Amino acid sequence: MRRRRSVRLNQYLPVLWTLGEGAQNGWGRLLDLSAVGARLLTRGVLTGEEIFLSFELETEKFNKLRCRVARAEQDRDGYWVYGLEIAEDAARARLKQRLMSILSRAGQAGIDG
Amino acid sequence: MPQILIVIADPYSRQEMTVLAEQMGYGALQAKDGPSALEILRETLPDALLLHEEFPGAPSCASWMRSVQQEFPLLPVIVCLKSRDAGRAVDFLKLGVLDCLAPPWSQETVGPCLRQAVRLKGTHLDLLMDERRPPALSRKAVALLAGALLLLAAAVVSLRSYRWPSEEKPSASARWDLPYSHPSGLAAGPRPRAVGTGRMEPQSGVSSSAAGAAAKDSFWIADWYSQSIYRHQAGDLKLEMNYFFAHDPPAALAFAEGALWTVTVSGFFQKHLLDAQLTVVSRFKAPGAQIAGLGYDGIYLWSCDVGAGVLRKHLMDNQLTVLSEIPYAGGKPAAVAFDGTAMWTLDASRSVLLKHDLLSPGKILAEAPLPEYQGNAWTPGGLLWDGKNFWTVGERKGKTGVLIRHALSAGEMR
Repeated sequence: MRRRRSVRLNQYLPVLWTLGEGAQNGWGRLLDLSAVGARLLTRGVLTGEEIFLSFELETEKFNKLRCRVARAEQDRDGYWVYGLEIAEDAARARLKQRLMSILSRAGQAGIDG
Repeated sequence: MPQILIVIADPYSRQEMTVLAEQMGYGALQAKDGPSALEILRETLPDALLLHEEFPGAPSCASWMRSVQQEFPLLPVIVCLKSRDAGRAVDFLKLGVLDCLAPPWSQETVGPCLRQAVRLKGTHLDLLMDERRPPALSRKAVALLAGALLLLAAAVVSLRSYRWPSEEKPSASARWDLPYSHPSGLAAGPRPRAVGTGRMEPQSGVSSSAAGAAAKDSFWIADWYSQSIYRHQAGDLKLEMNYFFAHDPPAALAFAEGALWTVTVSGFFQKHLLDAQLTVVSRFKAPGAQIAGLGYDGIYLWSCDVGAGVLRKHLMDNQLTVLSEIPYAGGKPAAVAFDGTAMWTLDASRSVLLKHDLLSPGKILAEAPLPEYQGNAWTPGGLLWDGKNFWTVGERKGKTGVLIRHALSAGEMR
C-alpha cells in the first residue's frame, strides 16, 4: 500500500464546489487537506470525474482548484465522502507552501519527548 | 429521543419541518422568533438547532446565531436557506454552522444533517502531525529491521525495568492547541452521568482519593477570559461540554469529596454540584485575592496564593477553614497537584515543577524544569497528575491556549 508522505491539515474547511462553468455546484467541507489531495464531505452527488474547489486557507484564497474524483463512499449519516486528487502542479506547490507555513507556525505537531 | 429546536417564522414551513423531523424519529421543539427560541434553549438544551435564514425581528440570522453560539458554543446549528445558494451556504459554514439546507426539504436532504448533528458532541481535538513516513522497504529488509528492533526492545526493557517498579512509564510529551485562549486551571475528574431527560447526576462512587484514577475520565479546564469551564474526554481530549459563568468566572478548580471546588477571578471559593449546570451550592470570600491554584490531597484542600506567595492548607468544612499557611519556597506558585505521595507546585516564574515534602511543604525535595515552556512566550497555568504524566495548561499573548503533556515521571523524581 502506498503511504502519503505530505503534510496534511486535519481540519474541516468550508468549501464551495462546482462541476464546471455554469454547471452543478454545492457546498461541503474538506478533510485531510494536503498538497496532493483531500477528502470532500458533502451531501451533493457528483456526477462527473472532475470538480473545481474554492476555499480559503487563512487569508489565501484558492479559486476553482481543479481536482480529479478518485473515489466515493457514503458515510453512516448519508453524507458523501469523495477522495480527490489535485490536478494542477502549480496549485499543489502553492498549497504545500501554505500548509507548511500554517502547520509550522501553529506548532501543531507534537513535541518529541 | 434527540430533540431538535426548529426556529422558523413562517408557521406553514415550521410545521412542515416539524413533521419531517418527527417522521425521522426526532422530538421537535418549535419557536417562531429569537426570544422564544432562547427561552427554550435555556430551559431544555436540545441536541441541535435548525434555523431559517429569514429571521424575524431586528437582528439578522447571522448575528442572532453568533449570540447563541456564545451562550451555547457546542450546540450544532443547521441553517435553512431561502433558496439554493452555495456561496451563501459557505458563508454560513465559515460562521460555525454545521451545515445548510436548501429547499425543497425532504427526508433525503434533511436526514443526513440531523443525523450528523445529533451524533456530534463537541469538537474533536487531534494532534496535527507532519506525516513523515520512512521510505518503502523490501519485505526482507522489513523482517530484518523488525527482528533487530525486537531484540533491542527486549534488551532495553530488561535493562531499564528496575526504573519503573510501581508505575507506568510516562507517555512522550505532546502539545494540543485549545479552542480558547486563557486557560488558568486544570483538574481531572468524573464525567457527570446523564440520566432521564438531559439532566446530569454525579457519577456514583466518585473517588475522593488524591490519585482517584478510577474517577478521572475527564479533563476539566477553567478559562477565565471566555468565562467557562471546558470538559474534555481524557482519552482523545474531545471537547464534551462547556459550562458558561456569566458572573465571576472560575480561575482554578479541583475535585474534592464528590464536588467541584473553584476559586473565582474576584477571589471567592465556590462549591459546585456535578450536575448539568455545575450549580453553585456555596460561595464565600477566599483568604487572599490572588489564588491561582487549587489541589486536593485526599484529606485537605490546598490553595496557592500568587499575590501573598504562600500555600494554604484548608480543612474540608463549609468555610474551608485555613489550617496552616506556608511561605512558598519557589517564585510564583501558579498551580498545585498531588501524585498520591507528594505535593507538586508549578512555579510560573521559572517554568519548573517543584516537589514538596507533604509533611513539611516549605521544604523542596526536587525540581524539574519544563522545557516546553522555556524560551517562548507561554505562561504556564494549571497542573495535573493523571497517574502517569504531568499535564499543564498555558497561555500566550494573542494566541490560543495550549494543553501540554510532559514526559516527566513522578517516580523519577523520588
